[in-house]
Amino acid sequence: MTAAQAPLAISVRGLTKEFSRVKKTGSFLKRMSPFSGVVENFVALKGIDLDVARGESLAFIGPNGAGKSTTIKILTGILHPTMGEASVLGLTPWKDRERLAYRIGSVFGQKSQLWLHLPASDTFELLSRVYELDRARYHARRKQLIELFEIGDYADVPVRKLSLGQRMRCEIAASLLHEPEVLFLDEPTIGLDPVAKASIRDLIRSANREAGVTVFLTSHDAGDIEQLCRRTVIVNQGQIVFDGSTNALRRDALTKKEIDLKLSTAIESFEPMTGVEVVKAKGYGLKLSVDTKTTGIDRVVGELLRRYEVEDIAIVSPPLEEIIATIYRGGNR
Amino acid sequence: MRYILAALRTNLLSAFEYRTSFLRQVFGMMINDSLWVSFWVLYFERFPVLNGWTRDDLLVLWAIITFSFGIAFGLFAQALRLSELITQGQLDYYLALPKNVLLQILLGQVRPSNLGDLFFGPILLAIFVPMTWAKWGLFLLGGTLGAVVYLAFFVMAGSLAFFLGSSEGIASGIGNALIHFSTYPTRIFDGWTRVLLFTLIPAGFIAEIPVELVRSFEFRDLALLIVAAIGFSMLAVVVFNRGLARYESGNLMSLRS
Amino acid sequence: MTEAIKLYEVARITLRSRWRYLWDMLGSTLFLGVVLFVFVKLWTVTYGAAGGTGAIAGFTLTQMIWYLVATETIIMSMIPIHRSIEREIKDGDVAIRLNKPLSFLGYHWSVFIGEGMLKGLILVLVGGVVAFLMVGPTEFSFLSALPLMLTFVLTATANFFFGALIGLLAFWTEDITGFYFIFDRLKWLLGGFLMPITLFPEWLQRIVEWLPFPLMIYRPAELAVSFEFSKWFELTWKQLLLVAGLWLVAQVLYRSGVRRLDVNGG
Repeated sequence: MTAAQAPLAISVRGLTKEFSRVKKTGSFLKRMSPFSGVVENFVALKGIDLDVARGESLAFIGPNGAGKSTTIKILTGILHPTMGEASVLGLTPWKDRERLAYRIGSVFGQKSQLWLHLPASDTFELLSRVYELDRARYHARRKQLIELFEIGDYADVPVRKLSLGQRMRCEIAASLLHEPEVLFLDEPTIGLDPVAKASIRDLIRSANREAGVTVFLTSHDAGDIEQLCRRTVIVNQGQIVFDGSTNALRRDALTKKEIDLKLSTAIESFEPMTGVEVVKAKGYGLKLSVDTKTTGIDRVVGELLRRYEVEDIAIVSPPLEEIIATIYRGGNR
Repeated sequence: MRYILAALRTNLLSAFEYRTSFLRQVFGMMINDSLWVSFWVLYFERFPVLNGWTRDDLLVLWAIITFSFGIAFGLFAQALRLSELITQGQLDYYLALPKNVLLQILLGQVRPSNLGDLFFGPILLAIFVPMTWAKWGLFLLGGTLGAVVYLAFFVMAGSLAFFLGSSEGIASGIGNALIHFSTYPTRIFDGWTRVLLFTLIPAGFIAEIPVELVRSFEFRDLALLIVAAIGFSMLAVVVFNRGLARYESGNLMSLRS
Repeated sequence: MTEAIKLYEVARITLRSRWRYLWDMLGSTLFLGVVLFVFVKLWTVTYGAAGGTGAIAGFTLTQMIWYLVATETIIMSMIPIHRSIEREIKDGDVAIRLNKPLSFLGYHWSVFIGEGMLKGLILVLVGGVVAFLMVGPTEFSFLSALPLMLTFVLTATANFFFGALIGLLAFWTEDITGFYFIFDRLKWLLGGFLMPITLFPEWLQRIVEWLPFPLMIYRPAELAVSFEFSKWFELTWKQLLLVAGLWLVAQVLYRSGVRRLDVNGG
């Protein structure tokens, strides 16, 4: 079996990464000098194990500073781990970075690879050279991506004139030009409005299904968990705290939803419902927490609409920190 | 006056919060200035006299213009951004405050790199040029008056935005021209250029007259410099206020969107 | 060979990207007119005081002005590469480049050369017109245009690596402003940016001969005003040597910088 046919796209064992940061203290002159300071160690990853099959789509979720970006950087060969092993498409990323680069794609939500003052199609052209694509194949691929991503209308408009959502579409299309086997996306939905977020999620899903690209995506947005990938991995403080199907997560940890209501009349008392707790009730506002294991959210909403005159209603997932806390509690049980 | 000092103090303290960066910028600019001075030192090694000026005169020139520049654009750095502030409608903020608008704008920012110039001048003199107390006094006076001329000119250049709309390019263009002309001994120019340097691009009042004062004091030069400083300032205030009236009356709404 | 195609494509896209701002560029070049005007006055007075129209340190007045057009073109055509590299290191953009099969320094070099050629062309035109109007033409053979273009690219490359080295220091220190001012201004002064090094005092000339700076400013500019093929050959191999040396140091700095990034986090 050659490396190219390895059944696993990504395989990680005991991955550990320690950073040392220089902290400046002491006298004025000492702080001025670039060569002095105390070295502080900071462990970003504490022994991560992870296997991702080819064609799988995986969400790597965690709060800021959990080690998500560090993991992506190691897997794409930018950083060396302090300890542990990793293999991406049968290659060791930090040893074969350049060879790997031809076979993976990456999108960094906060950093653009597009040339700001030029249309995205110019960047496509450049990338086709950078990845040494065959001309005919490149043209076919570009046509295909422009159709799939529906960017035909603005692929020839300077990037700086595009909305953030449009830009992200072009960004992802650009990273798929060379038909990578694995696509790494670091916070691709960051800063987008809900509609744009949803459409980017759709695109990532279809890239995964139609082209069979293995997708490795990070996010700190709990909303991404449910809608993106079949498998979710949650990291916290450099450790994996959950690795399983998104359904299982929904069953075990995403058991709470919050409903935020604005009513047209003030309520005096809330008649109890099974599986529903009142978080806050004040004047016209009502905030409820729903245990989705006992009661379906649709039933609760239906009941609420029957009971009250509702001016506004929002259903939100609890913040990621709360989900993680739930997971820890589950572990202690 | 108390307001000016308080504002300067706050600005300096806040710039000094980032000490490392502050000092690097200050030293960086002093190195930059040293380059130009070194150029002149090398020049005078080869050609000892330039239209009557010697190496020491050139050092005094550089001490004075860096000092003036440092006062003007180190302490009152926002003068450099006036055009941009006007075009982007950022004056509203200052209009809402209870002090003189122009003064508040000028006092809006301190620029560490230009403070490097401010320190460079006196250090240069102290090390390389034989000075008397009287000459130090004239240096400080001449340098300060030069700073007034610099500021007045930049206020006028920036105020063009009131009348022409977006004109950052023009403002920085003529501003750079003034700075450039003032870094050379204006005595190398003749005819119409000299007329220009004492009127439209008043580099003569910044570079030449203060140096002459330190070289050999003449009351006539001092009087001329004081009159010029007051005259240019008054002109600048008038131009700015005219423009501000237009701004307030809302004629510039189109600009602000 | 494929690497060369990649670099060429980066330079081409840079040109396309900048082309739209051509008028902006032209506008900012007009300041060169002011600079040259002052230079003309300064050197006219200087030559006059020295007793007329002869050559000083190997330059006639006309040659001196055209020499300064050349040095200004070299220096003003350069984008502040140290700052772009510093910013990429600080923001972690270095990572994005690492993910592409294209070398980091190669990419920046292409951008630098692409924009430098465009700006250089504009500067030569504007500076040339001003100099022509003020002191008249200098001797110029069109036969030398092609070799001089090559010299411009080599000169820009040497200056690129010099700036890149300063920028790469950002891997180690928070703020490179101080280093930049020291090294860059030293290059200006000792490289002969403001006046030919032949006007320096003897002792300084002897020191400067051993420094790389004249190869980055004085020699190419001097060659432009009095071209000879023998001088061109000598300069070219010296510049090639210099570029090779700077490239080597830059590679070492870059590699150990990336390794350090690895230790410190992005």
